[in-house]
Amino acid sequence: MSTGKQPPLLLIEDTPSLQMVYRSVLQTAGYEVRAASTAEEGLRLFHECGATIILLDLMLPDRDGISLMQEMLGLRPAASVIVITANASINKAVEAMRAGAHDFLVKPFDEARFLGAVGNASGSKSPVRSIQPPIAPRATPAAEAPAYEEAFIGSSPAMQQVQEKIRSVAPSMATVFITGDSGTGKELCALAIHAGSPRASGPFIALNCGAIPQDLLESEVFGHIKGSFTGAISDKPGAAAAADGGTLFLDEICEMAPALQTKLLRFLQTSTVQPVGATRPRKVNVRIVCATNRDPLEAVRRGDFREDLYYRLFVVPVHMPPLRDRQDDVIEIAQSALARFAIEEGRHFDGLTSEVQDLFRRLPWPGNVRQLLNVIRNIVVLNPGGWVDLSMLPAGLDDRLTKPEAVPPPTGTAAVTPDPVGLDGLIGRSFAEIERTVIEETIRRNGGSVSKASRVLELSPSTLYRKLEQWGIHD
Amino acid sequence: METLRQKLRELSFMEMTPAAQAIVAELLALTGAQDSMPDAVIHHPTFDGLLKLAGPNAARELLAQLGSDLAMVEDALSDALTTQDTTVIRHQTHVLIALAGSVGAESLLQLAKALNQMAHLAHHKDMSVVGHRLLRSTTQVRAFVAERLAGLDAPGPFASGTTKAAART
Repeated sequence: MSTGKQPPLLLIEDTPSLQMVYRSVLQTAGYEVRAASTAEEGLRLFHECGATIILLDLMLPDRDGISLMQEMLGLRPAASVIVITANASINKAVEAMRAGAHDFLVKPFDEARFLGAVGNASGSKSPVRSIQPPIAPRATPAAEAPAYEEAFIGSSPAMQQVQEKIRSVAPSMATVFITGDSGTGKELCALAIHAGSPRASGPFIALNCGAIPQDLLESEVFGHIKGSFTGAISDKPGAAAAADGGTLFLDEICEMAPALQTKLLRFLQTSTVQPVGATRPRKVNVRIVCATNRDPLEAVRRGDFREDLYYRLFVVPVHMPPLRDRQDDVIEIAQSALARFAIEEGRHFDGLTSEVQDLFRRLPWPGNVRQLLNVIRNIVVLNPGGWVDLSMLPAGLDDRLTKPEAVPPPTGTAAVTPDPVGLDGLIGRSFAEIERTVIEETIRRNGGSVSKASRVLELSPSTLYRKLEQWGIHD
Repeated sequence: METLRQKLRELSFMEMTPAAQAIVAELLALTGAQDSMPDAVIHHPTFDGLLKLAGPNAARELLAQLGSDLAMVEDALSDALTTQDTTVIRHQTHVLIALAGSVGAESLLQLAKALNQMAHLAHHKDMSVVGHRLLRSTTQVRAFVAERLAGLDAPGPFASGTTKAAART
């Protein structure tokens, strides 16, 4: 692989033998490499050689790697920084991804993964990128107004947090794991991430893992070669190849069959796809965003979802809050949808009466934004116009307020009792995050003693050690 | 008793949680099994692959540098374990995790991971027990590297095979 006119790669690693090893791997693969042992030297070479791909060890003798990365990205926003970290500091890697890193590599390095990450970064720097035509899975131009654009309307703290997180994560290559109840706008969130990324002009391919028959799923994701199985009448590229240069959105990821989970993991590790019946794999440059309306950690505990795949995908979690937790957003969304649908249907509506607004605030909205939009669409289609009052609402809408048993408890990943002081910071976070926060804080409050913390939490010390190891809490 | 020692030695090379590592290390010391531990386990294909990757010209420099880096880590860890300096232990085990993984020193890799976590949690007693084993393993890996370096100077490049590591005293 020749880098041709591209500037050299910049490698910043302070352990001399490791620097030699990494340099050997890169040079053998045809890359020109400049190497530095300190942050200061690295920054000087960054200015001198114009590198746009930087391999950066996070633990440097003279400066924190993340702050160095941020300075470099500030100077050259188009640069791709691949952070290198020891196995024991995954937390740092995740922090780096959130700060704008393109990818991260875990020591001890795997040569294929190492070159795959560099190849991906190198590919994304190509000035000419062929945009794949849409195939069977839906390909959505990022600029196209999505059907549920109202899902993002709202000034509630919960939505402000979501919007801020999207702004932070969109420019990086980080894999994003979106959780949230059905109808909360997970796909819209994925689209927003794609639209805010450097791959916005590339394809956005959405694949619903729960809607495709399991026996066809592999072919849908990785493609197939003509004649590879009965019914394969022509070559099909598959969603992963179609998303080359763009974003692959895997919805309902927890519904994916175990066998395909293994292949997805392999794909994430190597960035290559091998269509069914193909003899050789093909390299692709894809950013993965996935979503589920289930608690993914619970799916892992039940054995429905591979733990290693979970940790591979759960790099930056984004939780879409249910509508009932979004305060007055429900009114803002309803007003916006009313205006939009009225134009579409050629009607004129003045707005929502105070009685309707009051009812909307009290309804639990189990179907979330999707349900609210359906209600508004129903009103606009079945009524001539004017002020929307209670008589215009679909029959049975307020049943859930009159039948206590029908009011659902908080579900999914936001199942936290509201109100008590101290819990505010937990609302809107996934159960897995809350579990981790509580365990870490308990250990901290017990002077770092896992044994004491395990007694407080009524868990065995080995369970805590295992969790700490899974989270990479070493340093 | 010898059977127990043998089983403990076998067990000590398996991947396990830091807590289990600490218990096994303590049992190794208590039963005296540690005194007759086998040489550090090196995954030879990984090690040879590394030399091949470097190429004949750079292999010597790489081996020399590896030996030097391992010695630096060993010295720093030895001091830090004496003073129970968890910051230094965490930093040096980070380096050791990468070095051990690169050369295919699998048992050393596991020990480095375990010690790192113990240092993070300030488990001083466990740190001492596992740290002792880790230093011993580091010495063995370093000796192995030195012997391979010497082999490069002997007739025939890339002398391979199972090399018995000599412990530095």
